[in-house]
Amino acid sequence: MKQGERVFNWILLALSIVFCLLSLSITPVTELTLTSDGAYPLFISCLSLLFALCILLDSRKRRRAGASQSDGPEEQPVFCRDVVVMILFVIIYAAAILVVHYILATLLFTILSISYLEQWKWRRGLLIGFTSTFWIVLIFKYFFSVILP
Amino acid sequence: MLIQICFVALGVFAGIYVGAIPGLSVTMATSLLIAMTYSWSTDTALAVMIGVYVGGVYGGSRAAVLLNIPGAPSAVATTFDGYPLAKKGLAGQAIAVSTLTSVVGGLVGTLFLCFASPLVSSVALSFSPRDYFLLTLMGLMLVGSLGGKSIWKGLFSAAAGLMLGIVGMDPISGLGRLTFGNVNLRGGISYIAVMIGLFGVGEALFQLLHRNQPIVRQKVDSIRPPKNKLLKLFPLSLGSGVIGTLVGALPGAGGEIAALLAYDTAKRVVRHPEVPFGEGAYEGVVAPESANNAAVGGALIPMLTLGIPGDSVTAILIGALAIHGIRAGPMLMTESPDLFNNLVFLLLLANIFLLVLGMMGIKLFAKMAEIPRNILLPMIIVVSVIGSYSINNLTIDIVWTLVFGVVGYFMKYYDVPVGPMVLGLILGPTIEVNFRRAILSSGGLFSMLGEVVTNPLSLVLLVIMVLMIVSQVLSSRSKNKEPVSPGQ
Repeated sequence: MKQGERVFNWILLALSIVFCLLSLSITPVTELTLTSDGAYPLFISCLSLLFALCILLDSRKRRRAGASQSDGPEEQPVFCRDVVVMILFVIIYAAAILVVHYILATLLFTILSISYLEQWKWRRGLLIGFTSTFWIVLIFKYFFSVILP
Repeated sequence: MLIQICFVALGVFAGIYVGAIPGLSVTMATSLLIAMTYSWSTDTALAVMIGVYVGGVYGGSRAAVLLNIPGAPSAVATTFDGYPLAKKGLAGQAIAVSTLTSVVGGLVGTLFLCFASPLVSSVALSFSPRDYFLLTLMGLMLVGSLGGKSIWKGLFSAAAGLMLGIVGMDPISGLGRLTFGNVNLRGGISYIAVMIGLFGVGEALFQLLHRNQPIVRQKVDSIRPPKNKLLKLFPLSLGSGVIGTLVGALPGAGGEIAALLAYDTAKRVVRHPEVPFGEGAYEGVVAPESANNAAVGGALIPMLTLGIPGDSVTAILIGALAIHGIRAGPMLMTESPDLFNNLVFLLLLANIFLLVLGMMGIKLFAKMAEIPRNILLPMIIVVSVIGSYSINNLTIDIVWTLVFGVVGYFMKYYDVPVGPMVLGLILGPTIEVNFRRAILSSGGLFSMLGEVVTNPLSLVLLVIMVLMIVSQVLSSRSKNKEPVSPGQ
């Protein structure tokens, strides 16, 4: 079992229950037929509920069997610093695209993320950030004729 | 035409590079390419995608031989004998053998695609909604191979994908479902945005966990294998190519199973190899490499003729064709015969470029695979954002990509495969529409089931589906029983 896997499995179950409730709201149960709007969603959400329960039971079985933590780099915590910081940068990036121009947001994101990943070597971050943004704009906008956000 | 040829070469080059870097998948590269090539002509877009597909499947063998890390799932079997060969100082020769046999396999796959597709397509033209429903269900069998470590997690992922496919307007009545009154959700969730998020951003975030691993310097020496050895290995390469094509054509199989099956068959057929399997037998490189490249042609058969993806890359290619206004399926042969001919030609061309670029750039690719991840990973996120926006020019798609990128990270971390989710999202609407149409035309569930048993075509599809389920159960059981192979 990985760190937080139990919570994750319960979240899957909770999501399935939400799916079921949402599906039930599409067509009232009394009017439900095989071809009505809500039948297929209800069937799929019931399936996901079943699979989420199976995941929970399976993980419980593994835990009882004494399955140890998995090997390899996955042993790192799910919320390891690098991932949390990068997710934060991604959120800032998304917000920046909405607020300021895409090119400015990309420049900010590349400088920030590369500087961080390179242990705050700002000079390197600035250099790679400016160069990569320049090339991205050049290639996508002018070579591929892609409309940038 | 010249532009297409150039783009195939570029695609193969990029594909080998992507495939050679462990962690970067062909599926990810293809999903990013959809958006980049959106404004291009269909033929040019297909040229680069087919190039990346062929090059990427082959490129996985580079890391498998040099680092004992399969660059792609289909290169798992290549590590068994490829890496022991590298340890003996024969890495260059092992790569050269894998290149040549990959080309042989690829050509076998192309030949099958060329001759089998028109036949399958002509049969598929007489399909009713009931048969399509069965076929799309068959497509969902792909979950078996994309399922990862736990089949339940694979199935949950597929169900979640099917659920996401429901968001938007009902395909028959036109009423909004799970839209919460939000206008942005009425058109549904763009599966391209989801795909790019899960495969692109999700993978980049996941790779952060591995970023501190030191880059292994790759050493490549002489690349010329003995001629008599190559001639001796040629029949095995052809046979493995046939196995790869047939397995690749089954939705739910794909290159990984094809390679493992071909490796297993080679172990049974080649009774007295010069070196035992698992200790650096050339036969152990030839069989999986020929099979996984042949599976490319095989996977394109159900995609083009039935609209059912043979693997995760062909699932993305269906999306790419849809963006260009082309619907993969039996009508493709009659509506766009030129496209089919062009695709066969591109596949042929990609294999020729594979031979040239594969043999030429062995030392160059070894160097390129050393690019620092600290630079590569943010770039993947940036390109993903451009990709998701360029399809519909909607900012909401960027949000979906980034949201599903984070979701994809958690899924990967907890071994929930992302492939089935995309598969569910793509096949979901077709399954629902055909199921409801079949029920309406039959007059009820039981009469529809009765028709499935009495109609010969439906019965054949049902039998194939049952056989596929049985084979998947058997193969997963034998996988669990099998001891860990050398080189793993």
